[in-house]
Amino acid sequence: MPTISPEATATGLSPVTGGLSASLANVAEREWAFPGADDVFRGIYMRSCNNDREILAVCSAIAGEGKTTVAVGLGIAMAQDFPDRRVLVVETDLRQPVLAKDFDVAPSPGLAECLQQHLPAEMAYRPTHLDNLQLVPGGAPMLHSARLLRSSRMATALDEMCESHDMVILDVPAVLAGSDAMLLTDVADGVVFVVRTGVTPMPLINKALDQIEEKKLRGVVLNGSDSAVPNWLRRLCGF
Amino acid sequence: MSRKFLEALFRNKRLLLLPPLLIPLIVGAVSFVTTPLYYEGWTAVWLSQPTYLAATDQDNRYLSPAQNQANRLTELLKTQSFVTDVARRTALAPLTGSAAGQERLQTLLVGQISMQPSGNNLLAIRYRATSPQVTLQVLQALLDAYTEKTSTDRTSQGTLAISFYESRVQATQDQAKQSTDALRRYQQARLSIDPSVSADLSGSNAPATADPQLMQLQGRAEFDQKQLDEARASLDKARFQVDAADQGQDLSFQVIDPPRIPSGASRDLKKLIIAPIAALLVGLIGSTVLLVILLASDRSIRAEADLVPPVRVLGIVPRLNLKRVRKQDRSTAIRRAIGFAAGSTHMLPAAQRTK
Repeated sequence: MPTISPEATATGLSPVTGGLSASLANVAEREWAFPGADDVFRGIYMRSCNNDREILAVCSAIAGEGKTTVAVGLGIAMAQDFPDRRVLVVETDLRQPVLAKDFDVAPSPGLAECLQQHLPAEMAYRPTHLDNLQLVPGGAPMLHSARLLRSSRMATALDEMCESHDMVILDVPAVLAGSDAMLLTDVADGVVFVVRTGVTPMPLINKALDQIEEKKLRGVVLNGSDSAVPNWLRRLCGF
Repeated sequence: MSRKFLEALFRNKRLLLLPPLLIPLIVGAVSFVTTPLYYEGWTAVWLSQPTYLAATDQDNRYLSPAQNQANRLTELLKTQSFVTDVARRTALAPLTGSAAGQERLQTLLVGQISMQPSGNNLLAIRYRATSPQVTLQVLQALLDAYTEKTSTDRTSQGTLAISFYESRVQATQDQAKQSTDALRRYQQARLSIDPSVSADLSGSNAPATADPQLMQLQGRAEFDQKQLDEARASLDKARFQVDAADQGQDLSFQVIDPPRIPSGASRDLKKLIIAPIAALLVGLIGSTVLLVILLASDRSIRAEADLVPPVRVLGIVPRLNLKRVRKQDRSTAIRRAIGFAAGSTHMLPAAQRTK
């Protein structure tokens, strides 16, 4: 059985993937998660992807904004819509890897082990029920991940991933949490910036956006959008 | 701006509802506990104007007797001498000795008396105090002092009127005597000149019309006599009114329901209502201020329009709504949902999970 973090159970939401994967568990459950989940992620990748083959980094200003949700959602949407394209979702937050735990897959060998032990990148691939979608968990947690990510081995691993997959989606750590994100956004072809609505202050967002190369920034995804205003009033006011 | 305002309002509705609910509740409870108990007594007075008593100049003819007396009593209560007179008859008498006590009397006595005319003739006088005995004493003292004052005023006015009419009667009496004497002298003079006119002077009108001077003297004498009669009538009336003043007072100011000792205590309903209403207003103002603060301090992003400078928005992922899922099924549903992406991995044999 897959496990879920106590926080996720308590809140009823997985901070990483709950919203997304819940919406995609099956056709019936898509509706109770949120209507039109497919369209949302399809819209995101259609606006964010410029080429058939590229590396897309998904990042945010601070942790817990839903980077993994959006990254996996994008991967699933692409994999479902283009069965002939191979999609890989890579967890690059080596300090606090959560993907293996949330998806109940073996954490090792993950990206960290591949980089440390010079293992082939494909050793870290985890299959999903979609044939053309694979995951790469972060591996064992490590404190000094920047050194590894800056190493030539990382570049080699990315090359391997790009060779074996059409679309590589990097689940990047928070931009303001360290320099890891900077390294990864530099190697990515495009950057999708995730903002959790009602949580992240605008000054932090601007500070994070300043650190991202402007031409690489594809746009912002507002995650966890929710309006407290009753529907009738929103219709009345026209928003 | 309106969207942000409404969002902040509905998102924090519980917090914003707290001040308008909690403050009136606390203030209401405190007000109920701290508002002193008082004893209210009342008396009903029937006021009328007896027909045999002329209306005084103090009465407004366009107002009912009850309204007239209520106005008069209100005016009297504005005078220190009357208030002191009332207070001296009650347990509040010690307060009359000092200036501070006089000021306290204004609050304890004047401020607590209310008059409510009901109809043309009925006047209800209410008073409340923290002691039932004081309530009774003040109401009784008020009635006594007012009755005495009215009676005294009527008597003094009547005495003045008698004095005036007596002097007037005296003056008209003298005038009538002079004119009568003048007529008599003229008639005697004519008789001495021409005795043949005696018959005419006794009754026929022809000679009188023939003699204009006689006619003038007769007219003058009649007029003065008439003036004298009127003055005497006024004097009699004034004397009658003075005599009837005491009796008339009893008739025009009848205490129908004498004051009694109040049986139960009550609280000031006005204070009990006004305090929570004021607190509600304060609470609403507090909520408004709180809303403004929340609005100003919320720098998070809730919509595309909040992004400054504008950034291209790729998509909006709504918040997961699990309200439709039963509470006991939520964790299962979430686990199933989270396991989706790795679903096939779980189903694979352990050996095949990793390549």
